Amino acid sequence: MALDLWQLRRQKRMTIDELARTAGVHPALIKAYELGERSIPERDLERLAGALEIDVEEIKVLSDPPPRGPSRPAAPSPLEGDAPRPRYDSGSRYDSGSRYDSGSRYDSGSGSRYDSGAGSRYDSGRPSYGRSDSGRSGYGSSEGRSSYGGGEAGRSGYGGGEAGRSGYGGGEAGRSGYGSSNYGRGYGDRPAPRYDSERPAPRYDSERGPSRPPRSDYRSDRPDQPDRMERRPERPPRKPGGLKRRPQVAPARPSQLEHLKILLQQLDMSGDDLLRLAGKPLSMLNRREASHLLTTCQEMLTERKPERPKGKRQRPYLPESVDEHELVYLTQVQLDESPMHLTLFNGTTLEGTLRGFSPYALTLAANGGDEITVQKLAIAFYQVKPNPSQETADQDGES
Amino acid sequence: MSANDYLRYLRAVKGGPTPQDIEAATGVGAGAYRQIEQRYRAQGTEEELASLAAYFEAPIEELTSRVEWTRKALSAALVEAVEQDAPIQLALRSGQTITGKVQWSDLGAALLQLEDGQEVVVQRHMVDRWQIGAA
Repeated sequence: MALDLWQLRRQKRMTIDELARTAGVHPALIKAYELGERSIPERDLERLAGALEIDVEEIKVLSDPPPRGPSRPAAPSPLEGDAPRPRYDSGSRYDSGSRYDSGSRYDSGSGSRYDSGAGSRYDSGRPSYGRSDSGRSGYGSSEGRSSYGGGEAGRSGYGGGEAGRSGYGGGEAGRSGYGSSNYGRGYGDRPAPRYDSERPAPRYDSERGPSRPPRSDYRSDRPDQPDRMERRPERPPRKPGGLKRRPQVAPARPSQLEHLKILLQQLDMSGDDLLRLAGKPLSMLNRREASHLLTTCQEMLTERKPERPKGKRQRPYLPESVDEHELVYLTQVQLDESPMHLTLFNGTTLEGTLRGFSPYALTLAANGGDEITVQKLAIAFYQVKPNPSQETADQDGES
Repeated sequence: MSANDYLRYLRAVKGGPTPQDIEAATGVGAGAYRQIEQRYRAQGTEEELASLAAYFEAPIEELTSRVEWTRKALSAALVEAVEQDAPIQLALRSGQTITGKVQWSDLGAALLQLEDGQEVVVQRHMVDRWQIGAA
C-alpha cells in the first residue's frame, strides 16, 4: 500500500535535507510534495524511491499533508491556552497562582507574575517581597504564606513557619516539609533545617538568583526614594513559539568528504567497511560525524605506519634541503689527506691538502706548509687527486 | 648562474658587504635583498633589480636574464640528469665548460664524473647555464 512521502521519510529517520541531498531533489520541492501541494513527477518518484530504498509504488504520488507540518512536530507552547502546562508538582507555584496559571499576568492580568495572591506589590502596590496586606510574609514569616508562588492557594514560603506550608511544591495540597518547620520534626530523627522566621529563606525564584534581604526594610529606610522595581518597565511578554529548536548540524563539507575518500583509499577500506564504521554512507554524514570519522581514520592510518626512527631529522630528499653530500665528501678527502686542486672564479688555481672546512670555506695547507682559507663563493670547482702514498700502500697490498 | 647566485658573486667581488648594508645603500626594502639572494625561486621586482645592478655596477641585463635560471631549475636539471643517467654540461661563470655524469648534488655543489673518470666538484653558484645530454 502506498504511503505519504513524509511517512516514508520519517520511517527511514531522515530529515528533508538528508533526503534532498541523497535523492538530488530540492528540499523545497520535497516539502511541497509532502504537504500535498504538488504531485510527485515520475522522475522525482524514482529518485526519492531510490534514496529511501523502496519501490516507486510505495510512494503516494500526491501526499496528504502531515498532521503537524512537514517535518518534526512543533513543541507545545506553554503559553497556549489549551496546551498542556508543565506540571512539576501538583501543589507547586506553577499550578496555583503562578505566572503560568490563571493568575498570571499573561493570562488574565489580575495577578502578579510572581504572585497571584493578594499580597504582591505587583498586584496592589503594597509592600513587596513577601509582605501581604495581612502580614503574610514570603520569607519565613510566621504565617509562612509566601507571596512567591503562593497566594491563598499556595501558602508557600520556603520554610514558612505556621504550618510548614512549603514553597517547594507548596499550596494547599503541598504542605510538605522541606524547610518548613512542620513543628520541628524534619526528616526522621534529625531536626528540621531551620528555614524559618529567624532568618530569611533563600529565594528560589525562577526569574532571579538566590535570595536577597527583604525589601520591606530597604523601603522603610528610604521612604522618599522611588522603588526601583516600580520604575522598572514591564517586560514584554514572551513571544509564543515554545522551546527553541536545536540547530541542525550542517552537512559535511566537500573538503571533508574528499579527505575521507583519500584516507579510505589509503586504508584500503571498501564501502561496506565504511558503512560498518560510520553507520551511513558518506553522502549522508553531517559535519560533526565527518569530523569524527576523519579523526578515526587518521588514527587508524597512524597505527598502520611504521614508527620513524627518532633522533634524526626527517627531510625530503631534495637537493635544496640536502647539504651533506659535500660534507661527507670533504670529510673523506681530509681523512685521506689527498691533494686538492682548486680553481677560483677568476681563474686562479690553488693546491694543497685539506685541513678543515665549513659550509662556507675551505682551509688548505699549501705545499710550503702555509694555510690558506678560501671562501666557497670564490671557488668555481675543485678536483681531488689520489694520495700518492695511499696509492703506493694500496699497490703493496694488492701485490 | 641564477640571479641570486649572481648577486652573491657580486657581493663577494665587492668585498662582502652585508645584506643590511646593501639594503641601506640601495633603498631595497628590509629583508628583500636577503630574500632575493637566498630564495631558490625567482625573486625581486624590476626596480629592485635595477637598483641592485646600479649598486654593484653590473649591467641590468645580467640580472634580469638570470631571473628564470633559478637554483630550483638547476636542481631539477641535475635530478633529471641522474634519472636519465645522461651527462650534463655545465657552463661556468669563469668561462669553462664541464661535462660529466652527476654523482650527487646538494645545496651547494655537484659532483660530476668526467669522461676520463676524474671527478670534479662544481660549486653551484658558479653555474651559469646547463644542458642535459650534451656530449
